[in-house]
Formats: sequence, C-alpha cells, structure tokens
Amino acid sequence: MGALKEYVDTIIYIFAEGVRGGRAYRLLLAGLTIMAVYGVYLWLFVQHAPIFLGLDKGGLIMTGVNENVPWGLYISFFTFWVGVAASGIIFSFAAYVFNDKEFKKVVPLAEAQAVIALIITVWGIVANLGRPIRATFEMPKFENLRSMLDWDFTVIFTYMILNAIAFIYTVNQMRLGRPVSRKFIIPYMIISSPFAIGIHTVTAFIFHALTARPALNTALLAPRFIATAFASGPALLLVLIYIAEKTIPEFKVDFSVYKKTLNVILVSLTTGLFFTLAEVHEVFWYTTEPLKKAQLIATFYGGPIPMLTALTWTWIAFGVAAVLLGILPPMRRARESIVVIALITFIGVFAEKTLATILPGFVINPVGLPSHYKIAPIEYFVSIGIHSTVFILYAILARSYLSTLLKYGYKG
Amino acid sequence: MAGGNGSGVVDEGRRRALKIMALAGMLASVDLAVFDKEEFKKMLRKVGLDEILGGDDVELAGAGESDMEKRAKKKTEEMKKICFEAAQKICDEKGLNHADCLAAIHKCRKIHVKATPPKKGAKYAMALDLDKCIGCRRCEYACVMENNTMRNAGMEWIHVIEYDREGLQDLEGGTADYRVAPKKGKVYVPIACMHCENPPCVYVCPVRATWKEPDGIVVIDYDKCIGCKYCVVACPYGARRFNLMKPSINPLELNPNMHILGNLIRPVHVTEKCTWCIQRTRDGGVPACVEACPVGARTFGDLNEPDSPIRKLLERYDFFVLKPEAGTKPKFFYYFGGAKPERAEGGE
Amino acid sequence: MLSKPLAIVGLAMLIIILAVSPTARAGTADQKELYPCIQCHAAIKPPATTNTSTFHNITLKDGHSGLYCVNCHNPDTAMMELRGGVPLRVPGFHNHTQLYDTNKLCAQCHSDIYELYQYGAHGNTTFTCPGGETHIIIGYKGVKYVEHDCPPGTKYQMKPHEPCIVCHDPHNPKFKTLSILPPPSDRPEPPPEGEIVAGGVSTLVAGIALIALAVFVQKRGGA
Repeated sequence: MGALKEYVDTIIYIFAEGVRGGRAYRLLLAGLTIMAVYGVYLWLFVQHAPIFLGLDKGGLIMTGVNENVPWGLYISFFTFWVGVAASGIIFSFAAYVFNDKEFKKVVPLAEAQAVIALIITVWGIVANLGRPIRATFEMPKFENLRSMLDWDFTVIFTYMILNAIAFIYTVNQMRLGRPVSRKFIIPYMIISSPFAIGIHTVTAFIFHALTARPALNTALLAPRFIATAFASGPALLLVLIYIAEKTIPEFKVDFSVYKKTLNVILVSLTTGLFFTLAEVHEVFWYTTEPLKKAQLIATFYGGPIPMLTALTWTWIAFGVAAVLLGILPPMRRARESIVVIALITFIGVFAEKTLATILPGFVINPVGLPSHYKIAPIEYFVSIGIHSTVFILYAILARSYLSTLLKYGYKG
Repeated sequence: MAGGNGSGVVDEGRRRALKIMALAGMLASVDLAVFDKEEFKKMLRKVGLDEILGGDDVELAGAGESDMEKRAKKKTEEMKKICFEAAQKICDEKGLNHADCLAAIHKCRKIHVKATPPKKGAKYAMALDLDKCIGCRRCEYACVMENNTMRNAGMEWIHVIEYDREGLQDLEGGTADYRVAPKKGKVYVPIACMHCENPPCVYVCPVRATWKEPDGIVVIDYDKCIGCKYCVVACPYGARRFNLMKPSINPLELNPNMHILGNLIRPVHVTEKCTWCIQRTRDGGVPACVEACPVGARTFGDLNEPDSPIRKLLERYDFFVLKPEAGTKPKFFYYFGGAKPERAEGGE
Repeated sequence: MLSKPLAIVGLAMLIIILAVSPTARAGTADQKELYPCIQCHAAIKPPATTNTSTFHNITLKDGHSGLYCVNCHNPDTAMMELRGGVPLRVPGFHNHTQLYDTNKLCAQCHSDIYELYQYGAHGNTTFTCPGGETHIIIGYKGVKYVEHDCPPGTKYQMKPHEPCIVCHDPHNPKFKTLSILPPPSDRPEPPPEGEIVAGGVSTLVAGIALIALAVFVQKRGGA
C-alpha cells in the first residue's frame, strides 16, 4: 500500500513540477495550448462531427483522403512517430548494457520521448479512424489475429505503458534519493527491447504484405523503417538535449553523448539510404511488374501527386548531405555542428517517413488509375493540434525530470 | 575471456549483456524441458492456425441466424425512422397532398430489412463478356439505384474503366472518365468487388466486420466496422468505398427492399462495397447490374448448380481474372472471343 | 512443260469466276432458289400500281450480309413463312409469346449461342416474383431502372430471355450501340474551408507569437 501511495505521489509530483516554471516557460505552454485546443476542437467537432455530435455535415470528407488514398497525413505521422518511439531503446541499451553514466542521465528523456511519440501515433490512427468510439469497444476483443492492426494495437500500447512505467519509476527513485535498481532495469530491458523493435516492425508489416500496393509490398520495408527510425529518434533527442542545455544552465551533458549518438545516426542513416538504393535498383533495373513500376516512377519522377516526388528527393538530398557532413572531422568537434547534422537528418527522415513512405502505395491505384491527394487545411491544423498537445506533455515530463535531476542528482 | 586487458566500462557492460542473454537462453531451455512436450503439441493443435487465421472453408459469420434476424427487425424500424424524417422534409416543402409526399411515405412504409441466410451449397460467380461491353455505364446507374448508394460522393461500387487493348493485361493507362464510347482499340472493363476466394480485405479487418459468407459473397457488417480503412488499402481491385460523409437519401428514389448485410442506408464512416445485390440474389434473383446490362454482357449464377448459366459459360469459354498474380482467386470472370470448340475427351 | 501450270491456273480462275458470279450460278437449276432478290429488284422497279410490300428493298447487313432472302424466307409461301415451317413473326405486330416461334430458325445456324441462350447465359436477364409487380421507373438522373416490388419473403423466379428478334433485327443483326451515360456521381464538392483556414491561421500566429515571446523572455532572462 505504501509503495502504491509513493507512486501516486510521484505522478502528482511529476505534473506539479512540470507546470512550474518561469514566465518564458508559461508563455511557451500558453502558445502550445492555443494551437492544441484549436486542433482538438477541429478534430472532435468539425472533422468528426457526425460521430461526436451526430451532425449531418462534416466527416472525413473534409480531409484529403479519398477512395484511392484512404490513408493520408494522419497515418503518415503514425509511421514517423512510431519510429521515433522505437529509437528510445538505443539510449537505454547504451546506458544500461554498456553502463554509460552520461547516457543514463538522458535515458528518462528518451523514455518520455517514446511515450509522447506513441501518443501521437495512436492519435494519428484515431484521427484517421472513422468511428473511434466503436473502435474502443471492438479493438480490445482481438477478434481477428490475422489482422496486423490488432498486433500493432497490442505492441504500441504495451510499449507505451512500459515506457511510462520506467519513466515514473526512475523519477520516483530519484525523488526519494534511491538508486535505480538493477532488479528493475534488467527485466525491463529484456521485456521492452523486443517491443521497441516490434512497434516499428509491426507498423511496417501493416503495409508490406499487401499485394494491392506493390510499391509497399517489399520485405525491405521493415528494415528500412528501423534504419531510418534509429536515425531520426536519436537526432530528435540530440536536438532536444541541446535545447535543454541551452535553456537550463545547470544541466550539462557530456560531449561523448553527442559523439556516440552521431555515430548511431550516421550508421542508421547510411543503412537507410542503402535500403532506398536497393529498392530503386529492384524496380528500375529490370523489373517489368507494371503496377510497381508505375507507382515508383510516379514516386521518383513525378506523377499525379507532385508532393510525393518532392518529399522523396528531399529525403535523398538531406540524407546524403547529413552523411557527408557527419563524416567530415571538423563537423564532429562541436556540439553546434553535430546538432545541425541531427537537424538535417531529422528533416530528411521526416520527409521520408511521413507521406513519402505511404503514398507510393497509393499514387497509382490498384487498377492503374492515377490517384489524387491534396492535404486539406483541416488536416494541417488537426495535426498541429495533436503535436502541440503532445509537446505540452513532453515539456511537462522533461521539465519535471530535469528539475528532479538538478535537485536530487543522479544515482545510478 | 576476450576482454582480458579490458579497460573499464564497455567490457564490463558487454560481459553483463552476455550474462543477460545467457540467462534468457537458459530460461527458455528450462521452459522447454519442463514442458510436457505432448501436452505442448496438443495445445498447439488445439489453437490450430486455421482457427486463428480463418481458412477458406471456415464460416466467418459473426452472428447466428436468429441473431441476424433480430437485428434486421430492429434495423427495419431504424431505416423507417430515417426515411420518414427525410419524407417529412419533402412533405413540409411541397404540402401533404403533393404526389411526391405521398410517394415518399408509401416508399418508407414498404421498407423491409431482410436477413436471408445463404442458400445451402450455393457458390455464386459472375462473368462478363468484354466483347459485348460497350462501356455505357448503365450497370453503374442501376447499382446506385438498387443499393441506395450516396449520390454525391463518388461512391458507385462499379467503375467501368477504359483500357487500351494492350494495356488491359497490365491494367495500365486506364481512365474511368471517358465521355465517348465505344472507341476502336479500347476495351471497357467494369470492375467491382470480385468476391475473392482468398479475400485480403477479410484477412486484414481487425474487428472481423467483414467476412466471406458460405455462398461466396463477401459482406460487411455496418454495425461493426470501425472505419480504419485497412480493407480499402488491402483490396487489390480498388473495389471498396468508404463513406466519408453522412449519406443523404431521397425517399423517392429509395429501394425499400433491403438486406442487413447489403443495401441499408449506410451509417457515416463505414466501408461498403458490392454485395452482388445480396437482397436479390439470396431470394433467387440476379444483381441489378446483370439486369440492367443492355447488351447482356453479364452473367450471374450458382457455380455448384450444373444447369446454371454461369456453369455453361465456364464450360464453353476461356476465362481470365484480373490480377491472377495476386492469388486472390476472384469469382468474377472476364472472357472474350468465341466459344471453345468441343473436343472429344481421351483418345490416343 | 509450261502448259500444265497454265492449265491449272486457268481451271482455277474458271472455278473462281463461277463461284463468285451470281449470274454464272443462276444457270444451274438447283441453285435457282438462292438467287439474290435485290440483285434484280434494285434495277427492275415494280409498277407503281402493283401492291408490293416494303420488304422488297431490305438490304441484309452485318453478320447476315452474305445471305439471301430465301436463306430464311420460304419462297414457296410467297415469303410469308420462314424456312423449316417456322411462321413469320414481326415484333410489334405479333404478341410477345408468338415472337418466340422464330427462335427455332435462328438456332439452325447459331446453335452454340442458342444453347447458351437456353441456359440463360446469352441475352438479357430479369426475374419476377409471384404476387409482386415489376415496374420500369425513371430513376437517378433519368436513367431507366427496373424495380421489383415484391412482397417480403417471396422467392424470385427467373424469366426466360427475350426472343432473339427483339434484340437482333434479323436483317441487321448487329446489336445497336447505345448512348453512353456520363460517370454517375458528381465528385464531392470541396467543403467550405474558409473558416477553418482563418481560424487555423490566426491560432497558429497567436501560438507562434507566444512561443517566440517565450524564447525572447528566456534570452533576456538568461543574458
């Protein structure tokens, strides 16, 4: 009973600590809140008005999705953020398996990042879902285990809960001045690492086994997802650590964290680029499979959806640029230049893992007709709302962790 | 040990990782050893893959017959309510004695939602003669009328697509928006749900809101669909449509003959598709597109009945299906050209 | 040795001439019946007073273009009966059931299709139901639609196909090309987005301004 109360107190502590801050912090939260409220309002009462309000107007017709492109921007955010979430495990591995003290400091940040990334993914699916209320009752029944969505549902929620538990546990131990116990960390690592890989693999599996979408029907999809995920997740965390370092003068992270993370980013990015090359070769060298070829020609050379081509080339350009900059020795000497490389990586992978991943399967429809997709304004604003809401949560979690770290210090 | 001259942290960490792996491996092997293997096998057999995955012959119907019928009764009331609401609007506008008002009310009264179960031993199929099809789209219109499809959202279940004769095999370079037909060198291919033997859409549905009935018709339960659109993504024929908005109905054009798995007035945000006019075919009729085809290009029938038109056609013509490489085994066959010459069997 | 091929060629040409020229064929007694009527009647007009039917100037087209009137019509009955004792039936003149009589003649040549027709695999398909009615109504966008008004619970019964000559004019058997209808439904019109955009942009501006202010305050506070 005592332990339970301890944890309830910790959760209250996290939120209480998280919202405390100076004027700047409060202004930041206010700015995010405005965008969040408007986005959530648009989603609940405009886009999903027929569901939540029973109105005749509204509905998914307001978004850009149509019969040929059933999954649009929301699902693309799902594929992107699930990758970011998966990469949290890299930091846990570095910290606990290799017992790196400096990494241990940022592990809770990675865990919080995983939690919020998974909230975006789930929200992305729900925003694209026709009937979210019905889904909450029907999905937990697991009626069709052949459906990848059921598995995805399972792994995403499990991994989210695991990360949340780890984060709360770490903060709890720190708050009470106790070291993080190996008895907790080792089983946690063993359980959560397959899930970390699993969330992203299963997400790729959702797409990759469909004969209807030959551009996605490649076994390389899951490895490609993982490779780019392990580039974008650490890149984002690096940027966030840098921001934390700049805003909180007392918080200092060793330069080795930057350097080691950069290496991870570069290796993953190179692998991801290599996988893209392999796919391009598969299609453009000999293949005569008509639909796959048509879809990839529309992806690389331009077709009915010009945005897709732009995003694909953005990924290739930014990815190559990041790798080239990353292997230049002068770039590896300063935090700032490493953060710039991380930013370039993040933008490149963001371009690839969002719409450029799913749209190739839809750009030519299964019977050879060109599809059309234009992101509707409501999609932009709902996405901004979702992201703002989740960033508020991340700001709260990160701030409470960092202030705890500064107050009590880290005992690993 | 490899890290003999090990300098500190990393080697220790590596050793620890190895220890963890060894521990996990030991746990797994102990598990296997402790387990009674026969028991384990039995367990595997009990939850057979077929059962989980839902093989071709497994009836996937979620609800029993009586249950369906009960639901159909409820649905009748629900549909009548929706219809009367729409009729009320017409009556308010045009007056109670206007012919349209009376007709609308008459239509609404006639609404009857059936739950006709599949006929035992039936296996439906459809065939289409590409030589005959002139691409006139009358099937699309009949389908829209028959199935109470939403008129203003591009929801028609059949798409007639114009391909080049060379492009047909690869389904390349088609257009659904032609205005003049038939043209030379073009072929017109009406595409709707193929009612596949291996339907990918059924396999991917996370809540089993869609399944294949024993008579071969792939149906959707509109009260179960959560609107995830995974089936729309999975269909290799682009045959599924998603209700992106609340369907608007005109009671004057309503088809009161409804089936609970077919042409109900659909709720918003659910998937729908061709059901081979389940409300007609289960009672011995033919789909509306077959009836409407002015050139008699379509044939519908029961494959298991030796005298059915479809069986006779299958015997006399060479058929092909779209995308055979997808392995879905469609029950919608296309053919063209003349009948096969009858050959004597056997002979040396 | 040159004369033999020449003789063969000559003989072949003679045969071809005999075969293709109707006049040449008319000479033989047993082929007299197959003399193409319009060959003469194109030039020899009957006097205006003579009571001739309009059928005389019918030209056989398409699939039947190589045939002669007497292939189907029996000249012994002044063309008023068909070959094989099949009575002459005219759509619009005879009633619907009587029209089925002529199917027998069609079946003589088109046995393959006739077989499929009998099984219901060639021709239009429709059904009725006992106790119900079938209306043809003008439906969506003015397109004809067959409505079956059946009482609930009845089993439908397939109707036999229309007689051959309803769809295929025997003198011009190719099926008539029908008009093409436009794609049935209009694409959904874009929903009103003005308000959403206005609201979204103003929120975005406000939010970003606040965040920028936060950064500014932080910088000043830090400095």
